[in-house]
Amino acid sequence: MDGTQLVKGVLDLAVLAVVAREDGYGYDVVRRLRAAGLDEVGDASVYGTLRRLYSAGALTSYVVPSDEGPHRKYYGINAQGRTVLETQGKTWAAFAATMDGLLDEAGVRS
Amino acid sequence: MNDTTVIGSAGQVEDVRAYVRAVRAWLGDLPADEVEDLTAGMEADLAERAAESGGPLGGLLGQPEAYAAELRSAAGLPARVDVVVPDAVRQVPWSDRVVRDAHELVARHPWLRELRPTWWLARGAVFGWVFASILGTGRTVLLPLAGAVLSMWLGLTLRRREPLATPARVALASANVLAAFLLLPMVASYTSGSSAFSDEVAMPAGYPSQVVANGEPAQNLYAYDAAGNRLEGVRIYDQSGQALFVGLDPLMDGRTPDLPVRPDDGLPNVAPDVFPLTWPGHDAWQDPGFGWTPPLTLPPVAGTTGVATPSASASPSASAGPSPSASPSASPSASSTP
Repeated sequence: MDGTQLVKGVLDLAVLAVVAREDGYGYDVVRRLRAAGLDEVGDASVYGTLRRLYSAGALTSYVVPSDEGPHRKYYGINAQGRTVLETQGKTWAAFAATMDGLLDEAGVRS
Repeated sequence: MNDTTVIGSAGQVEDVRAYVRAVRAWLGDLPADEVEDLTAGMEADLAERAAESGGPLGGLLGQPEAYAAELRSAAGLPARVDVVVPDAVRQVPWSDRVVRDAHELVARHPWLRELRPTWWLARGAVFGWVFASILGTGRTVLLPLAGAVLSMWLGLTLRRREPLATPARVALASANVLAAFLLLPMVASYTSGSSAFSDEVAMPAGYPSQVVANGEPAQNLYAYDAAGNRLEGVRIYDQSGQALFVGLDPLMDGRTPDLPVRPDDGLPNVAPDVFPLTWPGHDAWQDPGFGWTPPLTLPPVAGTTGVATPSASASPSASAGPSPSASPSASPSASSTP
């Protein structure tokens, strides 16, 4: 199965998880997602997701001016975001457990 | 987290800006504040991305169009309205579409950016040429050269100040368009001279050179020796052995009824390089009709007999005389010298 499709479904959760650990700007979040193993994630998808989560009120945002180059836009998680992260995290865990059970029954090592 | 902004090379910075402009153009149908929110910090992000990987962004991230589509889809925004639909075309002014297409072209082919200095030189040369033409200095090299240098400096200066304010951008774009239109006439004006030259070269070697005196083609020549006597059947050569001749067209004005014509092409059957021009039944020394009749004799040149003497320098035409046009006018003036 195409990994890109799977990532799309859980990108909100992944981005929230990364930002929950520490505030980050767009490319920083992309890099941390890739470092965690989500190679297929697209740059623009991450930036768009950050923007959408911010619009939905799950993230805060602030601009850090730079003397040497263009300004950076940082995102951080807020209380609402943490709630979303917790809820969706539980959903994911349950979903993953269900999938593991299915695959175990089929004799596939997950 | 990394707080130091990664600065790429000047070329990379340009590449990033072009990419961001192209993406913004593709988001152009969204409300301005939405575009602003979506692309704030984008330049910093892409600059870091480019500096890390070192390649053109088009290769790393794909086309700006696809990138913008992915961005708005992930942000939960509606997909772009197809610009091919006539209604949508009306929403996006043609100037915006030209600008967007140009940005995209550059984002797709970053090497186009390398041609910018060449264009700066060319457009400077064009304006230098225009000034030279206005001042009437003709095909000069100095002003176009100065213009090219000035334009190069301007280009480098403005590049550091990008993005420019709208009035400056409009002025610059207008100047560029004007220069582009004038480039061809300039090239034509510089090459037309050389093509006329090649026409001359194309003539067979040894073909006689038509005599020009005071800017007008001479129609006839009347030669006198140093003693002041008329010379008949004179043939004159220049320093490179070219026989001098006159055009025979003026003879064909109908005022010379006894003019012999060649049966094959109807041109005057007169040797154009033997002076004064002569043909049967015609007095070669008759009044040519320009308010001057060739006199029977001229006063002899001072010091006389045609031998080169110090005084001969006062009348160069009489002894050395390769310039036939000087003979009618120079001789009388020599005689008036006390």
